[in-house]
Amino acid sequence: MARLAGIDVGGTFTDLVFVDGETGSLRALKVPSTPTDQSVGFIAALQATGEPVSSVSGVVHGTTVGLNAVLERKGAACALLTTAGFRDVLELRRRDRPNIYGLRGWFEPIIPRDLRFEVAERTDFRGTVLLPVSEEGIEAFLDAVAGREVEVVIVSFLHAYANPENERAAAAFVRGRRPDLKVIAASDVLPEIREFERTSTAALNGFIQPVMARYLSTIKTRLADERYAGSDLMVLQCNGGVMSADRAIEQPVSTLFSGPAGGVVAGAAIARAAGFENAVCCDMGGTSFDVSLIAGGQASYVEERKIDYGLPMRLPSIDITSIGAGGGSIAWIDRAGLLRVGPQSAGANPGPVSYGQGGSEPTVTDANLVLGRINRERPIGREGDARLDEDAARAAIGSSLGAALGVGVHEAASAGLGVVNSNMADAIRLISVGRGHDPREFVLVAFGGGGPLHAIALARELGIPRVLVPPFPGVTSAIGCVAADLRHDFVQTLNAAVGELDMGALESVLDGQRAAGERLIASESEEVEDVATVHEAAMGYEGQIHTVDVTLPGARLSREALTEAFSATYRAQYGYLLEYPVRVLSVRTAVVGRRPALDVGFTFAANGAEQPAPASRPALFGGRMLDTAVYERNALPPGARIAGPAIVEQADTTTVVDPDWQGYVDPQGNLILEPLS
Amino acid sequence: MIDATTLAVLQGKLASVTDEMDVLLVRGAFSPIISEALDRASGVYHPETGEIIVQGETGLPIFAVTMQFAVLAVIDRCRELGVAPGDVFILNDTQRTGTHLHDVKLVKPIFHDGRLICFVANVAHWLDIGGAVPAGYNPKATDMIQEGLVIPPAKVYEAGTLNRSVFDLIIANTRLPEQNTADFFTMAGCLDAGGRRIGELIERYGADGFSEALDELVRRSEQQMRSHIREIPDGRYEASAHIDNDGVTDAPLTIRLAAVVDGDSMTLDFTGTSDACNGPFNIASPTTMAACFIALKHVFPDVPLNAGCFKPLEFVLPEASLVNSPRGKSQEFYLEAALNIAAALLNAMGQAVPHLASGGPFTTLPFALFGGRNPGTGKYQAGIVALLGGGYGGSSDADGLINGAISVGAARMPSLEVMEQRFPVRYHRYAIREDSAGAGEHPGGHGTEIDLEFTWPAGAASVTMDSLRHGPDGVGEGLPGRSAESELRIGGAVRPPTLGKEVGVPFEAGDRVVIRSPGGGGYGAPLDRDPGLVARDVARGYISGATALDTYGVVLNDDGTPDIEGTALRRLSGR
Repeated sequence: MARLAGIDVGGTFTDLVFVDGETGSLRALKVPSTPTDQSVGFIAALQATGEPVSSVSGVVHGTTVGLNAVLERKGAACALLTTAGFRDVLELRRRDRPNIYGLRGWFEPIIPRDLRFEVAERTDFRGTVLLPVSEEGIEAFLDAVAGREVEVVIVSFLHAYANPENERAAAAFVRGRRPDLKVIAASDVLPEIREFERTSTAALNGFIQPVMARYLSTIKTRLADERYAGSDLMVLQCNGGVMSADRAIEQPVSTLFSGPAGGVVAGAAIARAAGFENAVCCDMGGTSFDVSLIAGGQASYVEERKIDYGLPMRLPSIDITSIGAGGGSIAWIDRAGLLRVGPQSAGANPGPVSYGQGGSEPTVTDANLVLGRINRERPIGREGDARLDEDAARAAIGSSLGAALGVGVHEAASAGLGVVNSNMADAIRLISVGRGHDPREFVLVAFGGGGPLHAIALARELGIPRVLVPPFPGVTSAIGCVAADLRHDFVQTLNAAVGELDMGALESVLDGQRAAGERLIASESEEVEDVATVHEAAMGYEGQIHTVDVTLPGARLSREALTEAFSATYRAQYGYLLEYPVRVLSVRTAVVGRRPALDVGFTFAANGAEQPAPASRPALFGGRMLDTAVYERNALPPGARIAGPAIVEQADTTTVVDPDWQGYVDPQGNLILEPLS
Repeated sequence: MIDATTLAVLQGKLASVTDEMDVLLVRGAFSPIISEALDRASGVYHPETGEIIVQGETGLPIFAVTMQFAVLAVIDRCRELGVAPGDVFILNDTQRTGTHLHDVKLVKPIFHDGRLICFVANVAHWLDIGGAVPAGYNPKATDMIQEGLVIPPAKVYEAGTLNRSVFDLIIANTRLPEQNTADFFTMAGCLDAGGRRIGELIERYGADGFSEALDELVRRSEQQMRSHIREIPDGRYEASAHIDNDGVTDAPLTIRLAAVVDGDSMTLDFTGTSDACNGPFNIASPTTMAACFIALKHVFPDVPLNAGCFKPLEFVLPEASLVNSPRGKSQEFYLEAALNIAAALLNAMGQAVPHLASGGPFTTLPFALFGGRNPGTGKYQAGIVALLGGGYGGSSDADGLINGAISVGAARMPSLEVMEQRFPVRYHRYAIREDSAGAGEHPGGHGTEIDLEFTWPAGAASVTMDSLRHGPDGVGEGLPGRSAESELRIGGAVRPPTLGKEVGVPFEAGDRVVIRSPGGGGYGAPLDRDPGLVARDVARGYISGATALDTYGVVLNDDGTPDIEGTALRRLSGR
């Protein structure tokens, strides 16, 4: 039976989830992260399980090594070789500025101009080679980089998505002469139209490639040192799937933003195990609120994300909306005298006023504290026996908010929570109601230190009838590691009207993508139950810029079936159809290798034990301080019931249950909250 | 009296409604100007004054002010025609709404229990609106009728039913009926969606509470703007800007601006500005006010887009001047005057608050536009094939941005690969324009250079730009950025476009056009720039070795590193 470890490295903590298929247990733990060498914390987390590493059958890793290298501009030295005339595409971006308002701000591309070179060659949009690549030009390029400290060469030519011949010839030539360099053809990373986005994605891949290769081989060495004998090390991707470490070394760009994606995968798995196919996953941490939607068991995807200003990454990623609303978000009065919360955050340092670390501006955590919603003796995410300074929080809220608004401390704190809750609810509304979903058919899955504190308020505002608080809401990315399937995405631009499309060619592109995915999966793991393939096409009317993603009924299909699939999708999104020719811009294939479902219940110390009497403290609900029952989460076994007003405390979060709500613990250990009917 | 929490919450919710409308419009639109260049805006407006309550932050900045004039024009029209639930007005009359005729606005009243509560409205650039030239931008137009169809506020929906007479009349007068039809219905659909969301808010907060909140939000916003102005030292700050010519007459046009700060209000006085011109470079007063507001928002980005911000501002706009154009004058190239106004006001604010000073941003929109029949399909096609950014100014803390969007807009350059697929063009070069930034301790950003070839005969290409004579100003001892340049390579001959603005250029297959946009103005003395950065700029090819030596006084060693001693000597003699 599988004994799987999921390990997610965050900025502060390295989270581990250990699933024992034999005993059916799931355990979670946190150890401090080791930012200078993440592999140290990684191994420490494994050792902290107390299980011999040699008995672990699989390790799945979520890492921010690549993301940090980009954000800190500490990747590899890369050289870029482009079509003559276009070496600046990467630096010119798409003619924009960092912020719509304000003309200041600077952009530093990840490959500086003196490492960007050109060569004579040209292909047109039909894929016709107008000018073969000049070998003398490549020789000149090789001479130019000969004296430079370069680890990676990225070759990115115009229209290589339509015909990669020139690009591949140049890459092969460079590889032949310089086997010491890592050479990447951009159309191998992303055979998709739009030169800036394709080059940027390939450049990001090259920039972090040596960093990730070194990091993952260190991890593998350390695992070997610990006599790890399980299957391949697997790595989490931004598409919510996992891939082998070898594949991650080839395509590390897929690991960017994989952590939040893992959280959504975990949310979907937890909701599904609890019997819910539709879920709004809400993760509220210290600085941000991340929300994502699961409909019919499926996450939604975006085709592009920005890593930073001017650095787009065009790969299918789980669609996560992030707003600046967290426990550390600062409540303030703007120049108009209006109460605002965030997006500025006190972060972990100085942190909320009540942390007593020098923070002077009241935060969401301070408001929750003075309203009795969190326990000043048991702050979350703090070391040792720290306690919160409630008097300081009260004073800060009173002086900076209450005075300006002309209200007392409780009212000011409530108003702050009202504003931050409204901001979060609007973010949820945009991705749910705004996309045609009915919130009444969803369960709100609350993650993070703050999610369960605010979950009922959000559910109330949106008409969501149920809230689910998983047993370990603070380690969801690690749960995502063990819950995720293997997944590989492929894209190919076709750029043809449906009427002119070569349907045989379409089929062979899709079949080729499927075969490539299946080959990868076959090489990665033996524990796949089955392999599923989803084909999609980005389609639109002739002349339209944006496309809709149409799920195709299969690889082999008629023009009529293709048009019909488009019409159904378009009508669902826009409510009308138009009488124009339809185009296929690109086709995509996702190949998913399903891993055995995590058929484990969660075990608790108090499982089956008698429910102890709760403690109590006053907390504010609806403008009144009510005597509120305070439960220990670990003391609530499956089947336990609670009635609001109530507070449920655990090491990594606090759940607040309003007076007109009630809850029970389901067989998986989830706390399910519903309004009193 | 509405409580503080409700007010703050409602403000957020209204912003969320407009954001949603903005996104829907971009995703559904056919015109690349809307969907790629984001040339559109959406908002919620006051039922009696037309004032902005909230407008989407991702909307094109220039529409920030002009939309309230559009709504006001509709309110006036309602007095004549009456107004009922389900009505939607369409208009583009620039005299009332600013910008140019391409910017078609839809305005929809929102009722609750028979009472008018507010308006929702949007605006988007239609690619063709009729007139003498496909896709517009005729630099030779001498009156507005030559520029296209003028639509005074007309009810295009009456009580929820499309008025086909109005609609068909408009569409019949454009060259891209299919595209415009699709964009029209997308815009109308967005207003429906926004109206529904507003309806939910009214249900929830009550019509009285909602209306009270609208008034209060405007009042609060005024208070916020005044608090910013109060921080600007009292005084009179003057700046001026120039347009090379109006496309018709070869004579420069001047914009003169005095920003007079007095306590918490400010007067923006354009006395001394040139008279309205013959060509399409005039602007109506709403455009002038919008340009000023955008400049202030670049200085104070946290000012919300709300009517209250305009209350502390007083405008002195000379009658029949370039910035207060009389009815009937051509206004297609409104962006050029707006860009120069914004640059002048940024300059004035830099004098008033020195730590905010920066070199001037580029102040022209160089572009090439194509229109013609595809010989293969016989279908009419039109579109922008080059849209250049330019350099921003250097500032106290940073060099200027390379290839920024125009200051009063945010339109992006479409992908070259996508344009080659859609239009008969092949690009030969799209690059940083080297040595074009104004030198300084913090130089401006460089301009951009494009070189494109037509692959079949372009029936009606136009190539236009200004700033051929003046680059953006430097600040302090900073130098100005280089001015724009262009070459038409037709047959064997090479020549600049006449007056920098030509329409109906007879490009044959194989002919080319080259455009180079201005760099931004520099900040501070070039001799104060870190020699290491100068050496870096030479290595990157941003500047030449000659510029390093002559302008920056930096002597480089053979390996490209700065010769510290040689540089010190050189700089000593250069002062």
